[in-house]
Amino acid sequence: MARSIVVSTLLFLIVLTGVALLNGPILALALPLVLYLGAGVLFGPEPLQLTFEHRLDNERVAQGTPVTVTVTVTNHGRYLEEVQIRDHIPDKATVLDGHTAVMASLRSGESVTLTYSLDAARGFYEFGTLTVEATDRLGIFRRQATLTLEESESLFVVPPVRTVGQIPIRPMMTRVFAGYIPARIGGPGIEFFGVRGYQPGDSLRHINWRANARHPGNLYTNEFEQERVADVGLILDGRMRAVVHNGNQALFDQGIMATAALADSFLTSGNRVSLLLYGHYIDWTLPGYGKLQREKILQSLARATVGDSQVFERLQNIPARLFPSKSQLVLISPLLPDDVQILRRLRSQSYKLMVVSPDPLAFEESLMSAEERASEATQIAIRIARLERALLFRQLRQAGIQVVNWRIDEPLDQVIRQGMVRPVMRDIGGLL
Amino acid sequence: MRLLDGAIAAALLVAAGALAVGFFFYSGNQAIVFSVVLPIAIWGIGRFFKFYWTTLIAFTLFVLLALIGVMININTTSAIVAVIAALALLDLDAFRAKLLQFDRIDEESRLIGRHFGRLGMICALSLLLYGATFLININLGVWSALLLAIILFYGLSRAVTYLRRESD
Repeated sequence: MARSIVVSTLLFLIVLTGVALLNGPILALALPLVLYLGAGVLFGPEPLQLTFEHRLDNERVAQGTPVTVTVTVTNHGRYLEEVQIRDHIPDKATVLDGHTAVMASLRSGESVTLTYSLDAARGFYEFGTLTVEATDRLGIFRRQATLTLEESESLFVVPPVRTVGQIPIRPMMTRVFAGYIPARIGGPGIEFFGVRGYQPGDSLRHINWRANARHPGNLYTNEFEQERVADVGLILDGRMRAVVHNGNQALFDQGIMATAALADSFLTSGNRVSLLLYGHYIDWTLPGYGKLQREKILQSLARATVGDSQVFERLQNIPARLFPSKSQLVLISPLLPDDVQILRRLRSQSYKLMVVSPDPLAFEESLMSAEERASEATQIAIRIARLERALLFRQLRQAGIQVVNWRIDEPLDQVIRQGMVRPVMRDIGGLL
Repeated sequence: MRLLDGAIAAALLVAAGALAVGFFFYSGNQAIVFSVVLPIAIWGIGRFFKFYWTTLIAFTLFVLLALIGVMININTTSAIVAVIAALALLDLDAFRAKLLQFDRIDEESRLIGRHFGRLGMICALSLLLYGATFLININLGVWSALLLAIILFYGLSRAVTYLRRESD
């Protein structure tokens, strides 16, 4: 029960008893209580007239980088004897330094500033709500207000980007601009592509003298494979049933980091990259080039969450038409057995498909205690699950899909490089 | 904070001591004198387990003991002093709990000083007005007392309703 209610109730009791018994000394007992409540009424706070500014030192930071927040509250009303100010901190943020709340007195026109730094997990955060409570000096009466900025400040905490180097892909179709991806078209380039008849203007250095010797009277020129940029579509699987999690979505976070690394690699090579987040809903980042697109993709990944939607329970609702025909698709998914058919269908639609699969078995195994892991039942279960996964990979490879099994404790760069070179040998060794 | 803790302890001792002295001089009966231990114990248990609402119970008990004491004609000054000290205890305990919620308090010593000033003023005014009541003598008849009771009942009901709406 609140203090003022108790005091006023006792005052009520004393006064009525005093009057009922016509007892002056009893009425005298009420004096301190009357004065106490009276002081509260007399010095109680006026309606709050406060404004505030909220500033972040950075609107976009990489995960693990602290952000400094500065909040300044100014009193435009009458003197506030005691004011308590609390800034609202997002749930997934931790205050590293400074204070998020203050108790002070504020004269008219006076300001108080809160400065603190916080470390936030990957995500998108909005700031700009403040709780203020003003009381009289004895704290009997209070006025409370929640102040909100007209335009809230936003903070993107983007996932860290690991460098994975250039990833060798060979989509069926490339774009017209020069790049690093073999275009299956003869022209200026480095890699040998074929031999054709000499045409005026061809460089003499490219004449194939061996072919000329076999066919006297004709001149032949070496042709090289053109290297161009390509369209790459990244698909991140955020389906709840596909992602193993231990409360903080760890495997999904690894998938996000892999997606960021792949996007960075493809964009650095000059490709046009788009991103589709598939899980709770579809979040589509339009295709684009360069640093701006990299930023858009990172911001989209910052917002990504695992979702449990019946519509997107299976991969069959991937809107393949969003991706240019014959382009390269990269799916980042732990994979489920029923995904094979849909991935085959995508492959049959002329998309070149690559799957980077964070290994859920290795991840789940790492969460087990040593005793659990050592038990015979667990060992058998792990072996069966690995066999199923190996079979799944084999089915995908038979359909012409590149698959990379990524144990998240291994560097992604190394895994992709090895997976591209000797995928079959690696997976047989790794899974069995 | 040490000053505040000292003041709380002093308020508790004064409230309990004043009532104990009042009851002792009235009857000398140890059982009645030791009744003041009950609110102290409740307050102490609350402090130990960090249940701040127990101070409200201790305060209520102090006031009720003072009321009973005056009804059985113990020294009124003892009772008034006990009520004032209990009120100070209630106020300072709530103030201490509020201060503990904040890591940052701007001009803390000044804030505490002004709180003490306001509370001290109320305590001093209470004693002053109590002293003034010795000079006032109003004789009420039954009907005028009844009228006064009705007016007080209405007024206090409105006041309590207002307090419920406006206060914490």
